[in-house]
Amino acid sequence: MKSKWVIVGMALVVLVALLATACAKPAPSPSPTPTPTPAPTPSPTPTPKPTPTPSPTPTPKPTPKLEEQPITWGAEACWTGIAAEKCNPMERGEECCIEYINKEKGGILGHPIKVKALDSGYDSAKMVTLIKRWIDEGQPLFCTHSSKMMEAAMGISNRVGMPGIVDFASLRCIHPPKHVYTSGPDYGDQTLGFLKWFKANVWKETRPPRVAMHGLNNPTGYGPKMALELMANKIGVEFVTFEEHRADTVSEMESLTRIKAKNPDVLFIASTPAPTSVIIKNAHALGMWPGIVIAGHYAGMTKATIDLAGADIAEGVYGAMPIVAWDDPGPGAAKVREYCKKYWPQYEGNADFLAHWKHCLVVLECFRVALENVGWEALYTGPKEERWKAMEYEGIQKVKGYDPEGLCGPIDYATNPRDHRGSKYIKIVQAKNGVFQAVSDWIECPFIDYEKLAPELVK
Amino acid sequence: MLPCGVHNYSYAKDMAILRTKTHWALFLLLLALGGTLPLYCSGTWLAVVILIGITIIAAVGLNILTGYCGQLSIGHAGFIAVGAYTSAVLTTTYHFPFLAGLICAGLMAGFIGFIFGFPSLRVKGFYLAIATIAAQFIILWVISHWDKVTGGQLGLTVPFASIAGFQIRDDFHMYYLVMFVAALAIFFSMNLARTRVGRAFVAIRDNDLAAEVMGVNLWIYKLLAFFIGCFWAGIAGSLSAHWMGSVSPEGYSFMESILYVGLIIIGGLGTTVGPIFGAIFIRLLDQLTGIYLSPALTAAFPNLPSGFTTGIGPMLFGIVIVLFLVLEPRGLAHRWTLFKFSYRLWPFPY
Repeated sequence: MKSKWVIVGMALVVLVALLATACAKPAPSPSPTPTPTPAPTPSPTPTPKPTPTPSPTPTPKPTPKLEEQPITWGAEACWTGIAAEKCNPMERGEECCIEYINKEKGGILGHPIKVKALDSGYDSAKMVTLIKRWIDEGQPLFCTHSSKMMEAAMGISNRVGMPGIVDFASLRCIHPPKHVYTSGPDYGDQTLGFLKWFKANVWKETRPPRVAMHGLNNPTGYGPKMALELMANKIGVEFVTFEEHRADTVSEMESLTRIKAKNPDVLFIASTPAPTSVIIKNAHALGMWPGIVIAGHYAGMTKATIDLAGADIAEGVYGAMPIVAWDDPGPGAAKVREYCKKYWPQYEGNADFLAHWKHCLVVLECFRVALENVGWEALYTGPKEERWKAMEYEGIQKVKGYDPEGLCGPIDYATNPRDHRGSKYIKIVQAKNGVFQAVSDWIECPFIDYEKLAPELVK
Repeated sequence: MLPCGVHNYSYAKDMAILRTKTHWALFLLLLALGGTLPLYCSGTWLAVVILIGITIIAAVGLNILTGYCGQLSIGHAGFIAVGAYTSAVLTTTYHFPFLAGLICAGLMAGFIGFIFGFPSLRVKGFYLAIATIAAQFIILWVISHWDKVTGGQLGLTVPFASIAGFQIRDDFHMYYLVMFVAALAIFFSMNLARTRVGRAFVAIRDNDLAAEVMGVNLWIYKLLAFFIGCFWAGIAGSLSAHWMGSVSPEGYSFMESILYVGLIIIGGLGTTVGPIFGAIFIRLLDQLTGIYLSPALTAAFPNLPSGFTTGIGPMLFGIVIVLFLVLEPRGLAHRWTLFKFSYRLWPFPY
């Protein structure tokens, strides 16, 4: 009996030791950071010892520690889960962008970028553990690919004041404005931007165009719906009807028949590529298309949409793009193509790859500004709350007029503190010969003041 | 079975949950470990433990419904959503105190479960599974389209939980709240199984016709199982909403419901410890593969196709379920029972 107790006791001791090891707190500063520098002096002082050097000017050595002061942030990637198809090229785009900045630009003000994205699986519960992890690590910033993952994280991050930047945003991410930012206009903004351009450049009649919308049954579809409901009168269009579809829809003949009965001039599809292509094909079968104008925002109007619908059927549909087209002649897009071809040739032509490259550039610009204003120590050492404030108020909110190598419109978080969109601009593209080609210059999307127009929506 | 040489001499002692010194020692150790965990556990792991706790509460509910009463439900995430939204709406729009919101969340989810339990009076097995899938879709459709109350597709922001004026703003305090409720759920489930109601549930699960012949009222007990199972789902939903700080329909997908079914299968259907083992196993598997294994494999084999290493997690989940179904259909709980038996018989082999 005694020996049994000894065994049980030993087992318990081992169990406690294991648990304590597993649950041990990680280092307070993120990943491979060195021990925090004493900090009172802004420039790194190598040794306090006075060395008897013959040189008359004992200048401090130029930043040998920068290599050991990497730029990190909490990066989410939905490698797995239902959004993996879209997320993988996005994440590869970010990796290539980091490679480009590290190799060709020498990092950010000499600081190397060392970021490893963690898989959220597009699962809200898992995302919650990721944001907790980054808060725990004291990362100065976190980024998500999708609005869904940001919505899962922002309840926690906003409470503690940790800033975050999302690439594909829904209106809920930035309304009411708290600590979450987006690198470009959201889907609602893109919708209004397109209709504004359409009215000014394509619409010839005196009456307001009648707009019907077919939206996905999530914020991708409902964000534009709400934006249009609130702003239709202001931009001078008539919002005639809204139909909803699922991501796995295979036929929308019935809903399109109802839309057809409303006799719209524009059918705006607020969705992702697969359902968008189904709707375009169904509209073609019903004789609605060509005839009316079909358009969509960035999430739905990609190369995949044309491929799925067929180039001949998709010919002429419009898209609202917050980034340049893949074949853009600018140097920024050329660099994206170069790295994509070198490392991930399977993603050539993929707009998501380019979009997240652009997103990464915006994030890095925020870091550059923050580093200039407050230095590395302020972002990675000291109390977490101070790091987050430094990142948000001395970094993100000080970015103004930044051009991410021509990949999107100018980035400005500084002018209107309530407008958390980095770029406010879109380009209108049109499907021609199987690819989307730009038919407009950058168009500014109006800022929708949801807090004033519909406070119940953003409570 | 008790350890060799240990005998109970009274009915009370026989019915006690903690019957031996070992039980008490382990229980006290568990209390000590659990009570001090936030002191030496990093924030990341504390969040994982809280998530496990919330999962256990919801899984206890599903275990009562499916494991004990045999009513297959594949719409559990829908009932969790009912709880989450009830609590969110009551505390934000109507400024209910958190505890009132929590209890109402359980009651509302229980009531909705009760309503969707009616088909169980006429159908069972696969047919009931389909009916509960319908519940999942109907609930989420209503939540997504009842914009004025639920915020529709955009969801709602949820305030911090607060009890008697004390706001639970961090995981340190949230941990104790979740663990207290989880302990309550486990204790409830443990005792329920030994009551008349619990035995009626088991009788219905094993053979509902025989149970009815013996005088078990199928109407009452099946609906009661739905109410209790969904009540705990609602409580879990409320806790998760206040912990995460927001609710949106996308957080309660059909896949989440499937996950819960897989979880109680892996843990062990119809046992008290099954949901605990299942929740710990699944959530840790998810974390370890996603946070450690996949990045390590990606670093070690950079030339593997994109998404291959990161797909390990979901693959492992599928493989584990298949292996459990084939090799240990009674789940981890059965392994635990075998371990206890071998300990109690020690030093004898059988």
